[in-house]
Amino acid sequence: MSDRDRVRGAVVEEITALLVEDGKPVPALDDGDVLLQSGLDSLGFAVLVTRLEDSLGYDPFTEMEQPVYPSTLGEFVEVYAAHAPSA
Amino acid sequence: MLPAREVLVDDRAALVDGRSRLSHAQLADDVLGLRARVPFGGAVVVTARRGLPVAAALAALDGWAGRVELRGALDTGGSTAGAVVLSDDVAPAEVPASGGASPMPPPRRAPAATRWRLFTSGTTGEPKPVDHTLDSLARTVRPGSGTGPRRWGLLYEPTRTAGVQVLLQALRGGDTVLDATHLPGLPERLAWLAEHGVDALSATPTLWRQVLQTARPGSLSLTQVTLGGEIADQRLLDALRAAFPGARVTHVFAATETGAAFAVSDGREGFPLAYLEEPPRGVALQVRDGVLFVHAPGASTAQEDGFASTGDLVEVAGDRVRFLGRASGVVNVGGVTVAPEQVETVLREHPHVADALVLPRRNPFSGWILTARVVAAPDLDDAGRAALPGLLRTSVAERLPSAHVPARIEVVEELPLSTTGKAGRR
Repeated sequence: MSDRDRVRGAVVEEITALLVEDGKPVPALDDGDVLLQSGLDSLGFAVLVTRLEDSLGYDPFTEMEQPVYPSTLGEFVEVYAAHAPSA
Repeated sequence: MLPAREVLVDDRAALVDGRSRLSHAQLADDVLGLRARVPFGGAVVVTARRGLPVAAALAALDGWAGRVELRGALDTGGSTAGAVVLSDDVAPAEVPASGGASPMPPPRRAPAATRWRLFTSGTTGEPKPVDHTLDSLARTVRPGSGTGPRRWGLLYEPTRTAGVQVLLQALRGGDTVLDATHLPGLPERLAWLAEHGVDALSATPTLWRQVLQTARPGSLSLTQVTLGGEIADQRLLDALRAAFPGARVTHVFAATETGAAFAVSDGREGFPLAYLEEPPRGVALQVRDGVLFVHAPGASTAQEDGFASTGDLVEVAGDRVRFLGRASGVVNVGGVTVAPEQVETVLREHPHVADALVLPRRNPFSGWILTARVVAAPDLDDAGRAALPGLLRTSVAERLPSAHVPARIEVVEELPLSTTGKAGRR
């Protein structure tokens, strides 16, 4: 499995768990979906990044040199894949 | 309702929303006839959620009413007995015939010293009333840009401090406010603002990050980008400069309790060390034991020398003073003031919890966020322990605003203790 697939799996898993906890419907998540329109609000984003930091072991947003604010699921996954610690 | 684009936006407009437009002249003439329905020196409660009635109240009632409470959608638990209530339904047609809706006669007496009561979120989650004068609220108003009036987008609730300050920008700075709050979501609001030629926008850092995350922030041709209400970090300032290359990027520092306010527009986080020697806008600043103090002799918390603590922890690094957080340990989670101890108390009250420690963590999207470690009650079985984090998040969410809910709750065997026996908070 590539880094991207592994990261995408972790991201989708955490988003799903978060939406379920908040009692929101879980849409089928495609790479082109805008995350803020998929049930996540800005606080949900913050929670997601915190949980991913614990499950994946890093927070790419505080590591990156050029700030990026991803809009879609695909862009969000790319950020994590690009900053994955080399195995 | 008329389609939004049929509402005229021009230089004489003070406020425009999805269905109506108010000119500066109409505001000055008390077009809603508010002085006819509020007795001189009387009390007013504004329950309106739209910007238009709030702007009309700001224009007509300062110097007329004794007290105006800006409540909006908030449930403050306060009564409205004896007060005139202004809702979104307020319209000129409702003015009693004896009122003489407009133009109003000049008042025959000295203006009333109007107190404007606004509510802050406070650390308890309960709305906390704070009284202001309109002059003190208008301190952040920027003078005209010299290139004609700006069009400020209103994304805040118009009855909260940040929203009032945007409205005052139109009233006192001669600008136009585009009230986007009639639309449900941020993408719709930004699209409407772009369509109406917005060129200035004020928002919290958390809201700005959301703006940057919407699909096309570049559709906004902004010349002024203003941040306030939370610490503006360098990363966000850089991202805004890249997204809005034609804009001046300003972060505003305002200490509500002391009334002090100043702005920084050099694109760097914090403020210049030189401000400690040369007070910005006459606001004298000092750093004492790592905490920022401002000269505010009128503030209730002022010491004998007239300086009052802002409660903000700062560090001096090179030629810059940077904000670190709050001295009291409270943190700002997405614009909401949150006390970790308060969340600990709620967690400890749960029957399945023996003890709890709540720690704030830096977060790239909300500034800060809470995480928690809990020790389960000894009689709780494995299944109960596995279900505990979800249960506790729900339990906190039922009692406190959502910013207080820990992002992650870890069930541990014991909590780390500091040498003083207190929970290891720092």
